[in-house]
Amino acid sequence: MSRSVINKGNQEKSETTNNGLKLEIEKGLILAAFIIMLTALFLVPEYEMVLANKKMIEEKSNISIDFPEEMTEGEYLSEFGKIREKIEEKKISIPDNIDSVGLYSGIVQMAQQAEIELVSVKFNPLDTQIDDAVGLEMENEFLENEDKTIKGPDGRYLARCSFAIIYKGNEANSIRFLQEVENYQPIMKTTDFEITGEVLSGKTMKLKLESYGMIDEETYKKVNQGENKNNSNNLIQ
Amino acid sequence: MNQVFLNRIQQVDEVIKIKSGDQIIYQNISDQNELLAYRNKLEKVLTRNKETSLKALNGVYDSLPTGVNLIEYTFVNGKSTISGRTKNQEDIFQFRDSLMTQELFKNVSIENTVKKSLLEVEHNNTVNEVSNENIWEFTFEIETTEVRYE
Repeated sequence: MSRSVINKGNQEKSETTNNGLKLEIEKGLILAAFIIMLTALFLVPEYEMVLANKKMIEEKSNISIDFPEEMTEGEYLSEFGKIREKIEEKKISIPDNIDSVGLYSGIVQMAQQAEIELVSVKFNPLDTQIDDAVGLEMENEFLENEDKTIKGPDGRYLARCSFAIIYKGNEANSIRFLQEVENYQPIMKTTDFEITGEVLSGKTMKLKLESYGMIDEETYKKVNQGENKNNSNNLIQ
Repeated sequence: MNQVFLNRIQQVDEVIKIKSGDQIIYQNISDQNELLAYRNKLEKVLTRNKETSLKALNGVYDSLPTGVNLIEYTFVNGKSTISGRTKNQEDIFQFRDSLMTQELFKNVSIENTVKKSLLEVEHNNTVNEVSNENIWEFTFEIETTEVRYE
């Protein structure tokens, strides 16, 4: 009888010890969970923020380095003026418009200098569709450009004016005329030509030429709406 | 630690703010430089091979033997076609060889040669000379070495 009482007492003591251990473990687990939560809630975001700020400092420092050193107004105006001057020089060969009357006048003058007889000059309408070969030289993605246009950083479009000239003259003067055309400004490019006639003093030449200009948005729209098509000059001397 | 970074960011921001006034000026210059570079490139592209047509014609005249008359000359897309006439068939080969010595021409092919009697030519009112000899008409096609745009 007393033995069973002793066993029962031992069993109760053991259960009390186990319960205490269990409680300790539970406390430990709660503490660990609390620490993990604290880390997740405060330390990780704080660490991430430090990293982000570090990155931001690097980026801003790079931006700061990229900024140029201070420039005086005089230096700026001088530098700006030099570049503008060069751009204006370029506009002699490729102007901001295509002046067919000016081109015609130039042709007449060159014909007089070369002593050839100008028979006719016919201008075609302006064209903003540029050949692939030229387009690809200017823009890598030109083939994907359905309009086949070339637009500069100033928003102006490259336009081409093609025209045909017929003239008569001897061989030497004809070559002189071609030389004049080659050196003419704005650019006049001979694309095709034909010489017919056997008599040395009276050969007939047919030239196809092109000149170029950078037209503005408004002119571009007119050209492509067909408004300018009727403005082609058909000049006969 | 984070506060140190925030202070540093603030300092860099102030430097950027001070410098940004000059940046507008530099942007203007940068834009103009871009435009200039574009115009330079465009001029270069548009004038490429510009002189080929004249060089080709000069090359033909320089190679023309004295006994050969040029009837027709065309230059289209970098290809020249010459039609001529001579009393001496050898002149045709001499002309062709002479053309081949020109650096600008990479290939000279004979399209055709036709022997005609003088009477036939006179009938066409193209030759004024009187002779019992036959006349050779020929056509050459010449490719130039420089690539032209189509």
